[in-house]
Amino acid sequence: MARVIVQEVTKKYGNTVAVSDFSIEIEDGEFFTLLGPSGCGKTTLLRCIAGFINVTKGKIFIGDRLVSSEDQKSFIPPEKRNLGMVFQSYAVWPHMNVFGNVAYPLKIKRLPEKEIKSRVRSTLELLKLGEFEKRYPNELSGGQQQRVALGRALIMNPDVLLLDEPLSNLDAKLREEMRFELKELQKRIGVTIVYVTHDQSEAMVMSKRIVVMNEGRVHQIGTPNEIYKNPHDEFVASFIGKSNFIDGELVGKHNNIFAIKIEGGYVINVQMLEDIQKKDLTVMIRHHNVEISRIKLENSIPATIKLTTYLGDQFIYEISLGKTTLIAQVHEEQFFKEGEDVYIKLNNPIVF
Amino acid sequence: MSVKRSLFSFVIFFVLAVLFIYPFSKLFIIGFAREGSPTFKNLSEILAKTTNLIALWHTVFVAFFVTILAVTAGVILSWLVTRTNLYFKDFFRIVLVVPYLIPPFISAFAWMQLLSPVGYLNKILMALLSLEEPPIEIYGKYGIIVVSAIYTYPLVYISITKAFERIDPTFEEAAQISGAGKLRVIKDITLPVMLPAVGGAAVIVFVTSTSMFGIPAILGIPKGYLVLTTKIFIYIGSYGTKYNFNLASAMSMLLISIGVLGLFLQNFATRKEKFAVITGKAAGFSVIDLGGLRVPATIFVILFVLLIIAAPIAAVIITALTKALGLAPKLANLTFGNFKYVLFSVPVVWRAIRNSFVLAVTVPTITVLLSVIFAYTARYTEMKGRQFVDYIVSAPYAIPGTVIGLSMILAWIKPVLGVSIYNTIWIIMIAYIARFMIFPMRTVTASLKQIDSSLAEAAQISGASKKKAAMDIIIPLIKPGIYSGWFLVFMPALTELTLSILLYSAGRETIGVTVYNMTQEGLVLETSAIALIIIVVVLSLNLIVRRASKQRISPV
Repeated sequence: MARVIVQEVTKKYGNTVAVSDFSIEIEDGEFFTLLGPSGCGKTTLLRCIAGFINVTKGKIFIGDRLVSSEDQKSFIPPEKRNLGMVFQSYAVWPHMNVFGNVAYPLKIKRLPEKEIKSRVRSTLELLKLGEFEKRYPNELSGGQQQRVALGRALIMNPDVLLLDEPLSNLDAKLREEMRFELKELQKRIGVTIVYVTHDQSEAMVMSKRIVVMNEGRVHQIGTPNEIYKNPHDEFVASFIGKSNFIDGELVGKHNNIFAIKIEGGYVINVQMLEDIQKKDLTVMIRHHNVEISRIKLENSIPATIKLTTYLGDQFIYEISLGKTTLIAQVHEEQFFKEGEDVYIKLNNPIVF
Repeated sequence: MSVKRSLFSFVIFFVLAVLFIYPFSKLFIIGFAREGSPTFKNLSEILAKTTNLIALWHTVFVAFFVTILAVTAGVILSWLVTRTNLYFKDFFRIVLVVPYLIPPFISAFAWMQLLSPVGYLNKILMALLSLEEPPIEIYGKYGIIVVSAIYTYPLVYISITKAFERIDPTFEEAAQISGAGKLRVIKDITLPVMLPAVGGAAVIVFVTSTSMFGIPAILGIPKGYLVLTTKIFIYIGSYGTKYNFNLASAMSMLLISIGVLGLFLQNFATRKEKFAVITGKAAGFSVIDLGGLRVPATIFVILFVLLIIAAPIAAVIITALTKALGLAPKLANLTFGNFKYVLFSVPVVWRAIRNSFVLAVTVPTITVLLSVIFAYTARYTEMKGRQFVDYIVSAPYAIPGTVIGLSMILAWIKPVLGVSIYNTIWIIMIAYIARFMIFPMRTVTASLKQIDSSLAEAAQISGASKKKAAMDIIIPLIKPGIYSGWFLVFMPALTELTLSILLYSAGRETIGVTVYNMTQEGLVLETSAIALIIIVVVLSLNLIVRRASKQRISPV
């Protein structure tokens, strides 16, 4: 078990910057997720932590040990970092059976045959692979191969477990199951996990903390709840959860209440934690925070229903507010027709 | 419609019969019969003679060591070029396949210039080490083994390079993160995962080696070191021997069975294999840092290229430009006279060039045309037995050229239904078609496989007839396969020796036959001149095609 400290790390390939001045501190036993769209640098960062590539600038510590820095001499190769890793393609070796794959790290350590056997057996039991010991990878399903990869990564009691989009090759149902299994497993063995994904719901379900990143930079670090409730910027807000974005203009301030004029000259009041200096702003409202009613309420704005979509447990409405189109997600059984004039209320707006 | 279809089936059957079924049945019948009655006498007579058993032993012995050398060189070079940070990789990548592009008998001749008792390298070594006798002997088993290995290692190199490029890089990374160091990763993961590809390449080299003719003919026959192909060649030529064709056919069976055994062994060896290699995202494999070995490894590859590729070509150049045999390669002794003489004073040379070019243009055209018809039939029609077409066409791949040549002689030595093509260019053409058919068949089938059937169906829905859909949609889409198939036949057809030497007659010489006969007559200067022309033409054509297609065309 160990913490991982990434200190001002930059990774360049020629002139392309894959990771830029990146700092995170992952606590011992934490389930920490690197979340971002493809090409955001999350896999590059993970590979820096793993030691497959060295950093261009900055430092990485695993536990108290400096493993990567711009100084080549202090670089510790992957095989000496005591990490476990599960790859997106699983990388279960085709020429070894399940036992051989899982036993491999212990064989490298030259443990006695007997100990290897018992440890592999118990790991396979833990992952419900007991009966597959003698099978070869081509005789296993995707989910089973993935467990083998996980077993191989866990068997040497790694300081940190690195997971590179491990669920992305599984079908939807198995993916959901594995999310909970992984979380469960981590609770039981308490290993530090660094998890890479582009799937926000995966990140939300499993992580203790998430770093949302894009173009090699940190956008926000926080618990899933903090990131969802209080996104720091437009990128985080758009990447996590479903939101409307409206242009607005700051027209007045009173203590920490901001008056913002939006489309159609309507003014909404937003409570802010910090002061904002600029005049042109973006107002974000989550889809489920758009409230629709037939009667005029306090602070509500007239609008028209453009399109109605029924999803079983909820309605999705496309609403025209002048030239802007907003999306509302409504759980109530209250039904609005297309073309109907309504009033909407924008709850819990956030301003950038 | 039905009449048309059965006519079409008949044409396909007729072509297969002429090219494959009839000649090979004839070979089989003559091998297992005498004067019309079936017997095993031919085989038992063959096996009773010590010289034949020796030839069989030589064939296996040579093939075994050729395989070991070619696989070792091919795997190491491929690994260095694809997986490490060797210098000049792009240059090596192209240059290392050159030995396979040069016709084997030309290569054997070139090595003679270096290592015959009066060869340049032997002379240099004698001077350097002040020896009385030339230290290296090119004639005999060692010469055959080394020159054959030089010709065949690119087969290994090409297929292993492809396999290295396909291997999932995370296999190795997973081992590394499990605690394995660089060497351990190579031993535990890279090599075992590559094993099926290496095994496959080894079998190809082994079978190729057993069926080679040019190299053992040029380097073995003068010293009486015979392998099965050259032995069969000698049997065919010895008209005085009774039953010489029957014995040659029986011996061919022996030779074929070695090839079949090789393929069977490969199947057996890879049967256990559980190697469904699952590839994930191509993250691009990690390049291994050779560290302190980077410079020595590069020097090693440079020396390899200089000795194995550049030296024999240089020897041919020097000889081709020398005024008289044995003169030191000084500026005063150089001349273009050999080229002038060969091209303008030896009538057979021009005749051979004309014949070879006619064959090298017609044969690929016909094979490509037939391949398109066969492959299309197999994929898009319901013709009965269409799946067998592919098997029949691929059969000659496992059958040595010498045996195909013999089958053609047996098939046509007497007129068939009043048609006589023996001693004409037609028999050479038919033999070439049978032998090279497999190349366009493969490329065309492969590109046809990539075309979703919905593409032609969409044309039909839009109103095109089936024929029009084929012409407008399918043919344009398989053009790359057609072009590369054509070129893959053109190159070997231009310099073919094995079939031509058995089937040529006066006036029907090919380039291969002419060069071979010139070496037999000891016309070293003239042979060098024409060999150099062939090398230049072959290499520049390959370069042009490579540039034009921007993709590697390889027969593997």
